Amino acid sequence: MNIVHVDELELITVGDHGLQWRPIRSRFGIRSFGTNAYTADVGDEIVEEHSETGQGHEEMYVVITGRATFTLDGDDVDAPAGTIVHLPDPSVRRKAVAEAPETRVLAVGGKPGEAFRPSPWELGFRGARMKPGEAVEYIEQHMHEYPDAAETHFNLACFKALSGDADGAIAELTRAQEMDPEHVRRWAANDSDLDSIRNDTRYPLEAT
Amino acid sequence: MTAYNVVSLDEIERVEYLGSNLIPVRYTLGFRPAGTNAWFADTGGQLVPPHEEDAGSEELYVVVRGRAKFTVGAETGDAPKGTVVYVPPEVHRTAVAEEDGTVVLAVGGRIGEPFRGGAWDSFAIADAHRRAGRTEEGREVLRQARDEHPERMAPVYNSACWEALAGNTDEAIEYLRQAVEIDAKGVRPYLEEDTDLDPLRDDPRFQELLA
Repeated sequence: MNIVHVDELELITVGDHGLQWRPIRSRFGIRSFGTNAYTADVGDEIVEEHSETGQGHEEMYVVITGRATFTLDGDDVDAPAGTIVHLPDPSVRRKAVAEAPETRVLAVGGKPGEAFRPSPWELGFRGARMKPGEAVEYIEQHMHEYPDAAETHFNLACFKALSGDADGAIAELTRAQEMDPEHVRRWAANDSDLDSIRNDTRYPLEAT
Repeated sequence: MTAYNVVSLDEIERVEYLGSNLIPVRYTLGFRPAGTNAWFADTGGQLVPPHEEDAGSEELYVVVRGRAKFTVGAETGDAPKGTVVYVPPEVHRTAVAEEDGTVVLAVGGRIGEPFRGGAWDSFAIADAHRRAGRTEEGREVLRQARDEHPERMAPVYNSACWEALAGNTDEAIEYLRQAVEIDAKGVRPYLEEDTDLDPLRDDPRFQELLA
């Protein structure tokens, strides 16, 4: 049987605020909706601050155990176990902090009216935990499972730059820039991963 | 569009369905990306009604409160709160509560297709409204289900059953006509056997549909 406790799921730390991602969708190979669990120590981030504008996803968070405080477009919402926070509007800025020990939150999401496709950020979050060369290999092996996204090519550019593959990094960054120039310019401006190729004559973005 | 909704699983009115207590999350919130509902039971009570999903429909169950015993195919599994169970398409599954106040969340969708609401859970909610005497609320739920799936026989057929049980023969016959138009072969076994339609069986118009 495909049965597992949230605490036994793989734990992938994301960002610098204690967020623990517990992948469910990829664990079971779910293809019809997005779903993951998150855990955190008291006071730590249990939902990363973000909006869903890029993906256009409608989301639902369910507090399975413990207690969390959600902040939704600046409003604080107390969410004890059993609370559902539903975000039909992708533009709402959302985050949550764990308020009790053993807080576990489930997220479910997808774009209304469209067949689900896995979110490219799964590749980036996993890659960030690996050595750059391994991350490149992992992403290139799995990127066909995800929609072709600027985010994925940008992440590949970063990992290739970090692993010393300037040619590969330039090619990926150029591809990302063609797909979504506005976001890529912003991501690249603040990402030290790309420092080794910034002075390359082929660097596809203008200096900021 | 509302920017956000916050609701507790305890606040949503429960609906009896096939011997289980359904907490209709999807309908209550208007959640669009996936089928999302919860089941409630006390010790020994049935949580997830025994069933299989169609080819292409996968489901995930999450124990939010209490403790459940899942049976999936030939296997059983102990599932305290925080447990996640994935069931692939076409596999038989059910779950029973092992503690009072157990709640299991169920999320489902069809692989490669956009999710659309307005199916079995809507029919269960409409029936609950009818039994509670909330006729207009029940009709509205069915109307939404028909609008969501104009090509499908089930919402029209369930509207017929609903009107028959509510004592509205003319409306019931009209929905049955529409159901026959959409899928004459598919609706036939139901016309012959469904006890919901018993109030209509002596009506000559019903006999005509059967002929």
